[in-house]
Amino acid sequence: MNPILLVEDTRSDEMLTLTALASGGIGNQVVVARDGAEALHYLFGTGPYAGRDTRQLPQVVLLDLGLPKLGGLDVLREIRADPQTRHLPVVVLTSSSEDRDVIASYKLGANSYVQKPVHFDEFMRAVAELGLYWVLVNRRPPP
Amino acid sequence: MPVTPEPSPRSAAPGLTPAADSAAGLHPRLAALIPSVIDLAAAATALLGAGVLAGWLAHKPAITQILPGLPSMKVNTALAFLASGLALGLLNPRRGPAAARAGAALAVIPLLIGALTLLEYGTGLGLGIDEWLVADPLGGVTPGRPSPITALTFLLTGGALLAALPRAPRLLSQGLASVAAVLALLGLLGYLYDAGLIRNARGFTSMAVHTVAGFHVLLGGVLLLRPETGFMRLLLADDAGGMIARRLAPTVVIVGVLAGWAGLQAQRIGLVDANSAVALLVTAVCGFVVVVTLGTASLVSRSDRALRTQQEKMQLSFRHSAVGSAIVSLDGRFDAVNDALCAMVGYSAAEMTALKFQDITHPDDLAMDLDLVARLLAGELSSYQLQKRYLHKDGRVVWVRISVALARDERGAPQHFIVQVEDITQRHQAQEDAARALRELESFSYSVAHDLRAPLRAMSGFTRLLERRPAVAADPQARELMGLISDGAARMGKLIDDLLQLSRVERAEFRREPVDLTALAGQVFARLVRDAGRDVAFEVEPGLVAEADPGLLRIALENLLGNALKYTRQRADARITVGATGSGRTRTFFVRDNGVGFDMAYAGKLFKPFQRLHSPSEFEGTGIGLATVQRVIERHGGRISGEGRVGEGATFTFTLEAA
Repeated sequence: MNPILLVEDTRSDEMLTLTALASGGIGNQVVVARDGAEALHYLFGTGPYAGRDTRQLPQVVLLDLGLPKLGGLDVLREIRADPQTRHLPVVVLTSSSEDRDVIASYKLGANSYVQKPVHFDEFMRAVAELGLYWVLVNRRPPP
Repeated sequence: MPVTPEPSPRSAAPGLTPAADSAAGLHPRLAALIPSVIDLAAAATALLGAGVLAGWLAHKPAITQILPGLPSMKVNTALAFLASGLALGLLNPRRGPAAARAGAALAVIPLLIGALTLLEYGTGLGLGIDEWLVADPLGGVTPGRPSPITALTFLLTGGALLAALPRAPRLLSQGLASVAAVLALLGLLGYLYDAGLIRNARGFTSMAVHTVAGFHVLLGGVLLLRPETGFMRLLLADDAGGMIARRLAPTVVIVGVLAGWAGLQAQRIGLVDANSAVALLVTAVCGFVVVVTLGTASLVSRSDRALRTQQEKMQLSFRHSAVGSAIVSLDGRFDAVNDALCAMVGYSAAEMTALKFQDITHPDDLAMDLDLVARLLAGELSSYQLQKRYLHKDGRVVWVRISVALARDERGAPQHFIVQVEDITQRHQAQEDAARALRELESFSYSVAHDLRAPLRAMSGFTRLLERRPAVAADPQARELMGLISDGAARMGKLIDDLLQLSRVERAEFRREPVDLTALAGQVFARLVRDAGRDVAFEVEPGLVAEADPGLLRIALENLLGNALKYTRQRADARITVGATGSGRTRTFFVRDNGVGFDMAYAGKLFKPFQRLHSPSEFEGTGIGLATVQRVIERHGGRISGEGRVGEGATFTFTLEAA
């Protein structure tokens, strides 16, 4: 089973997302990157992740937009620029509901855009549904 | 930095072919009389000719001779007068080109008569034209033949009439008519002074009295045919020169003639001898002319001084104006500049006159400026305004707003540009600061909302997780406390959303277009009622269209309909209505519900932020919704008001444009 890459800088959101995924019955390993640079290091096997087998790509990337250092949209751009990761499913999962963020995300090639609800029950449901879909239902393009 | 031009073609460029009169600067009242005067002269002359012809045919010496012993007006003279009068009338500019050609044809008659008669005199041969109609028994040596002066005068007059055609050389008509007028005047003086030179020249018949009179009237008309040229233009000019000419010329002529006559009479009755008569005559004429000249000079001097004072005032106001002014030549050179403009760009007046506006204009703004100048010269615009940059002498940029107009001369040819320059660097700076502040506010609002939501999510989330722990799940009080924390978080989340919405209403760019309000209300309501999960009767008037910003209107309706839904929660037969009254600028829309309503005593607080008319335990709410709606309405230029009755419902009425 391929892991899920969660790119999220807020500890509380990270914890809640992990809980929600577990509650939703999704058993994949979740790799957490706390900023954009770390996410790219993981995907391309550089920096602290040097030596990782980059042929093994995550099932899906859950990407927050408001990240320190390299922002979420820039990460998305890098992912889509590289032929190896070009078709990697990316779900933008963020607090922002601003139109311009939605537009920018889709323009850069995000597969989906989900606003993190404030209410926890809704959040649980959203993440669980997300996870189920991308892990179980969706078919990835062959490598 | 984008340049914002504001070309203002307030009126189409003035027509480039104004009436000839005003182009030549003729006195308007006099110029208006000319066509009528010409017709009068033409009619009088023609009647004279016709009358005398009739007199000859009916053998009435009273008409042909006036008094016994005086020379008679001959048949050919009368005929020439008739033809000349008709020609003059037809050549009157108000008749048009076709009539002018006919008139020119008729003008050949006096020309021929004059020429043939002169030929007879010159060669001594008779051509059989003198007595072709009637015999002239009293005609002397050459019966029926007009005097040589008359003949010459007709020759010149005929030529002057022909030369009045538009395509003839400009001064020819006036020149010929002037010589003819001098001859006519000689004829007049011949009678007045009983001058043998004119009256009885070598036995030729002399001019008849009415011939002399006729020539004066006829030639007066002929001289007016081309008033925009030669000395007639000067006589009729609408300026100081014309005033002088009109006063002096006739005065001198009249005074001269009368003084001469008086002198001769005095001599005849023996009051003085011939030499004294001449001395007196000259003295009288000199004295009179000097007096009239001085009088006219005084008038002209006064008007000239007034003009110069006005010019000085304009010069002063130009030089010391707070607004920069310049006169710019057609190729862009600063011909004249005032102090304010010099101060703006840092060059002295002397340095400016060596510069063209192209030299001190910022290169990015030059193309637009030159384009507008070209359109101004072409007559597409009568003036334009432009925001552009000048380059100060020390190199920095000065933002200015210029107004440029083109001065044209009487014929419409461009002469120079008149430019007003306003320094807007401060205003521009303020505009840029405002734009920057807005951008900063936008990014601030964005981060605030984004960053405030995460901790709220944490509060809500972890509270929920706590609720699941067995220790808490078993403790109802603990669960209640947890619930309160969650509710608090939820309320705060809603508050953030509402504040964000309000700030979006403030910041959003406003765009007005026709919006299907019926459909929009339907959409908004459908989503709200689905989330509410109840059945509510909803009526919206079909075909409602409003000129509004669609995004902002949606926000207003979301709040108004959301409220209506919320406050009808306790009614089983809840009903919400959306409609409109009035039309055009007073078109008024309303949203009505039959819910709990409110006490009108507190109506003043309705639209104030955070002021609520119901307690939070009855109805939740942030107190920002209506403030947001009011802001939307205000941005449209409209007004909103609310009316309520406790227990019966509320109606909110609003307009979307200024009445």
